[in-house]
Amino acid sequence: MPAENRHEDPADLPEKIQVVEFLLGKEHYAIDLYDVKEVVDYTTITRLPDTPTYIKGIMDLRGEITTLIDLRERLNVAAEKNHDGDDNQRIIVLDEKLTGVKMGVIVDDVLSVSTFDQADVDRSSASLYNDDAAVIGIIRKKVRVRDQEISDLIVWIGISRILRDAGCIKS
Amino acid sequence: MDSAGPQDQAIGMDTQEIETLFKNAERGDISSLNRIHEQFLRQNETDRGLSEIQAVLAKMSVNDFTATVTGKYSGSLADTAREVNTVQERLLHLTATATHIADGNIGDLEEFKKIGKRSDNDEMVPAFTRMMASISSMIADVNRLSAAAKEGGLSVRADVARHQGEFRTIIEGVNATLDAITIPLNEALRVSHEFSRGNFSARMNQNIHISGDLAKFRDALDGIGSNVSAAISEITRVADAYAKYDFTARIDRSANLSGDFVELLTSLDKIGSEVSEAIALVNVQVQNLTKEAGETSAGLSQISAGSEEIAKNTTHVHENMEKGHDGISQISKAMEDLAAAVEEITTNMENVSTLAKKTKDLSTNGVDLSRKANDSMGRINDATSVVNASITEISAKMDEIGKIVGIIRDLANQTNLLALNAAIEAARAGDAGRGFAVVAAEVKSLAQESRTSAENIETMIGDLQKRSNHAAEAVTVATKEVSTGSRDVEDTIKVFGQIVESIEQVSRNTEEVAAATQEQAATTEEITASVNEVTKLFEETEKESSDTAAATEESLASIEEINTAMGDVSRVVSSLTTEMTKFAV
Repeated sequence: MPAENRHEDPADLPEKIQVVEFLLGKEHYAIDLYDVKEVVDYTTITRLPDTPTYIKGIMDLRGEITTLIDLRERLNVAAEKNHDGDDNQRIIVLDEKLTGVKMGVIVDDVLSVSTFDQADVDRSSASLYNDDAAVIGIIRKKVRVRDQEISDLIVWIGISRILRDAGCIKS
Repeated sequence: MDSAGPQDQAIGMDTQEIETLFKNAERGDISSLNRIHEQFLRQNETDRGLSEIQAVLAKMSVNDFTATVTGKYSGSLADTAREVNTVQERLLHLTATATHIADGNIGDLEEFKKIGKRSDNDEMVPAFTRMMASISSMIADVNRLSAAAKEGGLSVRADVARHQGEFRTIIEGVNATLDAITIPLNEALRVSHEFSRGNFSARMNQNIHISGDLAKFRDALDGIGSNVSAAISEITRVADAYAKYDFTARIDRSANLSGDFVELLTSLDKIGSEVSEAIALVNVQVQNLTKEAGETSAGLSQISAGSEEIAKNTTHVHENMEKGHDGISQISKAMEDLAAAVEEITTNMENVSTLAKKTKDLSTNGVDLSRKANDSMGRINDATSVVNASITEISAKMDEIGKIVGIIRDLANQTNLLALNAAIEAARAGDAGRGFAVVAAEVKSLAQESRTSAENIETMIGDLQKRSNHAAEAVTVATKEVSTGSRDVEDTIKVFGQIVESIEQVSRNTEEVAAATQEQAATTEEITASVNEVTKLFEETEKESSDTAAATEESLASIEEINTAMGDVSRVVSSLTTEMTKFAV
């Protein structure tokens, strides 16, 4: 399924959404599963001169040069601690159909691949913020903690918009 | 008068008319003749009336108001006569009133006040009214003053402003008179009051002007004051002298005292002279007494001195005896102490001997125990070495475990990543990959668990390593301690050997001392027996000397009592003498 399919027309929305959950600082975030190609370990990064601070650099992924974006830096998320070089730091390699070039985003940890009902997604609160913002909606994830059901809130972001703003992909 | 008209006309007839009437009569006119006749008669009556009125007025001009106009007249003459009579009546009334005033009777005042004024120009009646009013108010004031004075109210004064002229002078005079009496009288009152309180130094104030009979009164009052003052001061002077034991004081006759004071003063003089005589007699006797007391005292002093000498000697003997006795007692006590000490030494020596033996046994035991301890130390050392080796080995194994766990964690991590990618692939594959996605999720959760377990093991291993390090350190310390202990035990064994040697030496010495002490005890007993005999001799001698001392002390005490009594007498006599010197006779 092409990524553009999820564009805003409530009637067209599929019943279920599939996302990759990850951490930025303490918060849970999610991006569309179909925007993700694979997840790789954090490796040596070669820095590039004269680029925005969120362009972390480039790396060699199986013989292909891949550009890396520090998502925390890009989204202005405050670091809980210094994660650079943390064991759990991962690089989510994005689908080439979306970007045209090999591109990955650095996150603090990748947790899982999850499926949610549309009912679990709150889109209205997202529109409260800047309509230019990367937030698509808030996913309510039910978790059982010691016999009590509570909701973890996951921030669902549209990675294509972020990359478009960064000028990494053509609109 | 009904006929006044024509008559007045007739009276008013002038000469020309009369001449006309006469001419008419000469011509035989009867009516004119009648009119002339009438005119004549009328003229006649007028003449008579005027002369009477004149006579009355003449009397009045010389203040004779007894006469009145009595004739009957007609016309204006009758009016004149009536007015003259009224004047006469009024003057007579005034005269009567003046006479009343002269007699001191102003009872007409009310009537005059009622009349007020007889005409606008009347000054007579107001003058009389004022005269009587002035007199009346003056009388009232004078009466008030005299009434107050009668009751003793000399401070009452009349208000001068209410009177005028000579009347005011009179009232002022009366006030001045009262002042002239009242002021001296008040002063006299003050002085009398002072006298009544016993202050006879008070005198009339010389600044107050007093003259005439009042001056005599003042002199008399002052005279009382000065006479009483003089008498009192003289009495006081003499009484004061008596109070200070000076009975030579006598009343000064030149003070010129008289009357009742003379008797009082004479009595006072008599007291002085009689007390003087009595004191002179007492004085002589006191002197005699003093002399005799002095002689007795001297005799007693000699006896006392002798007795004291005896007492002193006896005491001396006694003291020496006591000293000797004390010395013997001390020797006796010392001997007893010595015996006791010897006894104690013997006992102590026995104790020492026993203790030495015990100590020797204990030391031998100590040496054995120490040897055993030393052996144990050696074994501990061996065991510690084994422990140390084990710990080192454990530590090495732990390091290995750590490494393995690290590998497991890495594997888990890799597995996790693979599972994640598998899940992504499976999801992208859609329905075809669904089964695979479940497996991927399972694998992922297993990997997650492995990683968590590996992390736990790592933590535990770290902890264990820390602890084994601690144990290794402790073992090292223990090894060091054990080797130190081992050395100490060897030293102890050496010391115990030395103790045993010393104890043996002590035992030998103790036995020697015990033998010497027994010899000493025998000697001490012999000395004690000799001392007891000497003590008995001393006690006998002391008893005799003590009897002598008691007798001497008794006699000395008696002499002392006599002396004390004599001292009392002397003191009494001397104080009496002193007291007597106070009296001047």
